[in-house]
Amino acid sequence: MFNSAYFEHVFLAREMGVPLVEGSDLFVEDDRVWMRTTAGKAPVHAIYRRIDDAFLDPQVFNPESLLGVPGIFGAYAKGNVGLANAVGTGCSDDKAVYAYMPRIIRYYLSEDPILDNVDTHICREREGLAYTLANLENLVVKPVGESGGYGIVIGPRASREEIEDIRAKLLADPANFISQPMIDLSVCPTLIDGMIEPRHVDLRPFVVTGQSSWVLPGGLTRVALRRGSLIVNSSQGGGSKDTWVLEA
Amino acid sequence: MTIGTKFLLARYADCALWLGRYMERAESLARILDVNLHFSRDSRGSQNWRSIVQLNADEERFDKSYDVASYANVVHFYVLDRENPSSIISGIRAAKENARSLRPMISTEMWSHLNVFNNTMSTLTPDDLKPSELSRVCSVIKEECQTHTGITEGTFFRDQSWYFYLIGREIERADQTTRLLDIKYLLLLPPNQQAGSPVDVSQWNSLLRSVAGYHAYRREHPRGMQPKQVAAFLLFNMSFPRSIALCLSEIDGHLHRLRSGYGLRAGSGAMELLDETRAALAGHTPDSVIQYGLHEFSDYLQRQLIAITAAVRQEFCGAPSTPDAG
Repeated sequence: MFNSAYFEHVFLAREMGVPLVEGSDLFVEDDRVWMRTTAGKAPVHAIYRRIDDAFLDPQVFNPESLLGVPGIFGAYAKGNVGLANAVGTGCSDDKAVYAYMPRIIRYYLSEDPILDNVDTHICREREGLAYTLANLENLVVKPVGESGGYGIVIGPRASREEIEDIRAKLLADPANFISQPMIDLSVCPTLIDGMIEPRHVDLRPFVVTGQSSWVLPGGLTRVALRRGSLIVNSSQGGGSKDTWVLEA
Repeated sequence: MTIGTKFLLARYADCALWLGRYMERAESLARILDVNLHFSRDSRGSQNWRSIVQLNADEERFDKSYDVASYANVVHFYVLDRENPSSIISGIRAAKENARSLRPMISTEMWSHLNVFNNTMSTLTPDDLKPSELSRVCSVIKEECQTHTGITEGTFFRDQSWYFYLIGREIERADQTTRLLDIKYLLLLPPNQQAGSPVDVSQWNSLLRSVAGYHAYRREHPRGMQPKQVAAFLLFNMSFPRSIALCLSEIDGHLHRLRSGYGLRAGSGAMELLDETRAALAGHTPDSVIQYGLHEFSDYLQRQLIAITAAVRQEFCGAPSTPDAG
């Protein structure tokens, strides 16, 4: 309820017609998950979870978690409850996986990627690290496991201290980072304090790929509301804009 | 039936109950302040602001923060004081927080209105509470509460949460009426005189106006103004929305609907307490309740309402069984 994405949780729950539950609304008994309702306990068979793996079950992961449900991992392991997304799928969100995608495509499909990645240097590899360290002022350095735009250092906009700080972090744990050239995001007229001002935006399309690929005729346009900022993430004060599809 | 309508999360039931309670409380408080400003004098003819503090059993909390029960202090305490959980501003905020939890259940109109109302409350300054302004502010608050009631009536999906909302509202209504009866009756009865001796009619008018009941009373009793009749009207009348008897009957109806319409097996303890309370009420006549002691009877009703609330929350919502006066 105090999560900055609460609005989205509510929206999704309403659209799907399912109860929006918090950890304390659920409990586990005999390796089955139950929901506390006015009619007593009601069985739960599938959960679209919106919290990180680490917070899912204090008995298995982060013991400090108050968001999670004690014992839920046991129920999951026995196949008594389905979790979407499955535990561990977060690794596909890892930015290093992104960096390997062209190689993964070539290896498994023997094809060249149709859409190019942004040039990405993998710092766990020696050349990637060397290039990154030599060009810190021109690169964007991102921690691989973070989300929400946290921990990113934008070289061209960083102070000398920030550069030195990230250099030390890179040397201490190179595998935790990737680097990319700074992409100058496009801008869009945005209403700021009653005035129209330019703000950077990005577009996230949604594609479902199986036998064929289907592209949602729409997408998520995110806007960085601070002047000059390239961080569009909602958890850092970014907003969203309408996405217009003129022809699908 | 899909999972979305078959089950109600216990937490949602609790939030719906409190949403109903907080909105009712805010409206009631605004009305009491307004009426006190215009009509109320105690038996010595002075405006008694302390009585409102007594009415809400807030003496201890009030005395901790304020030295005298002056107009300015009492009105600030009940309208703007965020430290006071029973102030209107705190009540609306609490209502909004409950509505936030209920967002998957309530209409967008309800949510928007509560947000705007909450923001309106935050813009109030002590200047808005001057005697010349208070009545206007109280009107705004009452009308916003009534707007909430109307939007809710017109848009709230009629599932279990609707009945929990109504139960919360009716409990608060009954509670407010018992408090008013308890404090005002003693205060208005001239000292050392028997009931039935000449009284200042305007005082009784004001008591009825505090519950929006003056004209309703006049329909039942076109002439005269007997303290005993006023008390009986507020206790027993089955047509007046804020009478104890009608509120209890409504709660009873809502509990029945929850149990028969949704197959809920919980709530037997609450039903039992409610039956007991209604029987006690039915066993009294206007004469016998005065004889028994209006204060004692109001006190009994308040204790029963607290116990009923605790039972509903515990049986349906799994709340801890310790009573919560709210």
